Amino acid sequence: VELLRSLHTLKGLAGMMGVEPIVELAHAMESLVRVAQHGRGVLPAAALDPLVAATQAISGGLRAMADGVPVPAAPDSVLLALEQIAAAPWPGTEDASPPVVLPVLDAVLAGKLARSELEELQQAFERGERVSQIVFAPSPAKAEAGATITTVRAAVGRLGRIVRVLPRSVPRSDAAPGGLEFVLLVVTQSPPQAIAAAAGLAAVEVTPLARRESAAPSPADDDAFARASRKGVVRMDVAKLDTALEHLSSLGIGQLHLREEARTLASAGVDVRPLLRRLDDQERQLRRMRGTLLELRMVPLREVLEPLPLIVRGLRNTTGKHVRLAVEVGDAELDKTVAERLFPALVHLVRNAIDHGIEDVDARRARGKPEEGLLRVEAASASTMLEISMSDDGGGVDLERVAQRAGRPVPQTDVELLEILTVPGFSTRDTATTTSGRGLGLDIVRQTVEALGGTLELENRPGQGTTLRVRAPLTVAILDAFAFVAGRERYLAPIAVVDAIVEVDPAQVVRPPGRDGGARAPSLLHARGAIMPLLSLRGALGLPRAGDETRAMIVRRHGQPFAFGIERMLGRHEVLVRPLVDPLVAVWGVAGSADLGDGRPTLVLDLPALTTRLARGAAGEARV
Amino acid sequence: VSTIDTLHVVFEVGAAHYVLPASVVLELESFHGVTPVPGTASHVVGIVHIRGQVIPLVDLRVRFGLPPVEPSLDHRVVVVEHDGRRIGMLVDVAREIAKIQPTAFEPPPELVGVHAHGFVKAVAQLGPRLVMLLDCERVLGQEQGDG
Repeated sequence: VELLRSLHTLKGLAGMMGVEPIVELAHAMESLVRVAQHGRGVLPAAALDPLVAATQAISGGLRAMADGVPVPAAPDSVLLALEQIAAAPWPGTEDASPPVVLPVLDAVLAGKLARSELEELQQAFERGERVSQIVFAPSPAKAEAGATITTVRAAVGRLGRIVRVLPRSVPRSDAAPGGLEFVLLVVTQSPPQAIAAAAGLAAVEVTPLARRESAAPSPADDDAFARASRKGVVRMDVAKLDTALEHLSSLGIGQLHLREEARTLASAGVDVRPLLRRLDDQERQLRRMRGTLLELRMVPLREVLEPLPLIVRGLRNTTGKHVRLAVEVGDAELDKTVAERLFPALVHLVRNAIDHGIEDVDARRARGKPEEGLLRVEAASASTMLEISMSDDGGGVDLERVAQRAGRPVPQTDVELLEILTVPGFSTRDTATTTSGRGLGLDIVRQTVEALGGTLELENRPGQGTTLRVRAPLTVAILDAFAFVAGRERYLAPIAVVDAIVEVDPAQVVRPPGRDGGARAPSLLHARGAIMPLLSLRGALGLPRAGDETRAMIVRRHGQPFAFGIERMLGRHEVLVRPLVDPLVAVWGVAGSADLGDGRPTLVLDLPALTTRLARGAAGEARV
Repeated sequence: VSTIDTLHVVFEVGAAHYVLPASVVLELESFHGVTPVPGTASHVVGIVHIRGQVIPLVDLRVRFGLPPVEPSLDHRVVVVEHDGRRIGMLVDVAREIAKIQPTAFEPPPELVGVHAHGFVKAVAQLGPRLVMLLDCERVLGQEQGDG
């Protein structure tokens, strides 16, 4: 198990650095060792030579990297040898621990399956799912009746998960005039009759594969490795997934156009009900496809947090504090992009906790706490959001000191406290420290989290510790957004940040006295039982005056409502957001751009960030 | 010097001729509108979608301190790759590729260099025309050009 873990780590690290030859070698070695671990018994002597050769090839690759020359390709002979041994039946071990899936599968078929596919079948058995083997022999007669491998595959695919479709040659017969048949291995909940019926009655032959007799629950370690191995199967550039998502997004927008056309037809008196049913069906399929693609972008939080222990160890050394890190995040997963943006913020929270939260050994002893402080990272996901909490058992936040430093009254609630702690540049330290630094504090963390459409919460337990809770959406690549018009331009805003959209009745708007009285000065709006500032979005963006702003979009800034006047709502869209990364266009208040189907980029506004900028601008003016 | 190194894309901005090495120019596109991005420098007209990518568009007229004109379909977008970034430059006309030997370039006269904010790296005589070789670094830098 140790060896497997090391190989997997090696593979992961090589993968991160993009050293493909080493990834391949480590993967092949890992597969072989896993086979050995998975109940086939011990490593046969024949496996040792290729393993040693592979180790040497990896060392050679490392030397090449150290010398700055390209890493030579993995020697095919070694890879082949490793794979052959992994795939070959291992003599003398069958009795002790039979391979799990092989007995129920035809040996020839089993030989054609990839390891991952065998593992998938094995896991299906272990979970108690039904696995069926479906045989379909194509013939002209069946094709005429509408049954081809494509239709069978589609029909079966609706009932379950097709693990593999294998062609195999058979003696020519009336049933198989082409001398060819297809074997579909399917994991499904449906009984054989249902499958046969769905796939076109007598066209196919369905054989349920027997469940393994000793269906013992697999140990947790096995599970972990099975997951790890699934991850090892496909590695791909996230950009490719983005491209796929983008194509999907334009299909979704095409849908909207089709619906508009349908409405036009309907108003001309055409019966569009069948068309609408098809559209609904198509929309469901698009949603499923989107779900699948988004799932592909998910990474386990546990992997994302892997560097934390190292960081904590470094902090232990620099601060001299005793800290133990407990990461209990379970199986939580999140989108890779979210993970990449969130990670620096989480590291910052860890640093804060150790630098400011946890006391030094003497202070802890004086308070009767264990010398070693505890920093606990936990996670839970609920539907679309992931909550990560970070708790320390340190001294908590000294309210009076914070109040004094900020020159404000002592905060009465955790919300007020967080408000002060996230004032840009706020720090409780007189001098910069190497770990937390100074002035770059919680405000950055909060901004990062809020830009993702999430929230940051603080729970202060004076003398006992602090908990910070980060709630972030599991995925940001595709955004559910409102499209609207301001200053003749179209914009998008994430639905997640919009509290409400209200009609602006001029009678409810009050213009307070102000020096400029222009478009940039906020008015007061009374809506939804609250009074809030109302600002022309067009004015805030510096756009020329166009139509009247008859609607307002209410967002929250630090818990307070804030309304932006807009001209017109256009609707709700699911869009793929691309961040604007070039320094020329990376501006505050713009989260990225998306395509609404006209080939022209539409800006996705970060309204909470915009309110912050406006609030700062106002404060600056007030001081003059 | 291989032929490829001598190839230059020639374009016009406000009646003056400029060149860029063909090796940094990815494509020439016609102008089909732009999405303005509020809060950017005045010479950044916004973002455009070109061949699957969203890139910033810089109006060279504004960058060079000339009065802006309403972009029309006659305008061209010169897409350059510079320092790993991909950026569009809005120019008046671009339809020509010329061979210019490196030896033909000479540094701009000092006074011109200062007045042009260092945008012009070198000048060369191309037939009857004087062409200016742009310094992408300066033109696409973040600092305000008209300050």
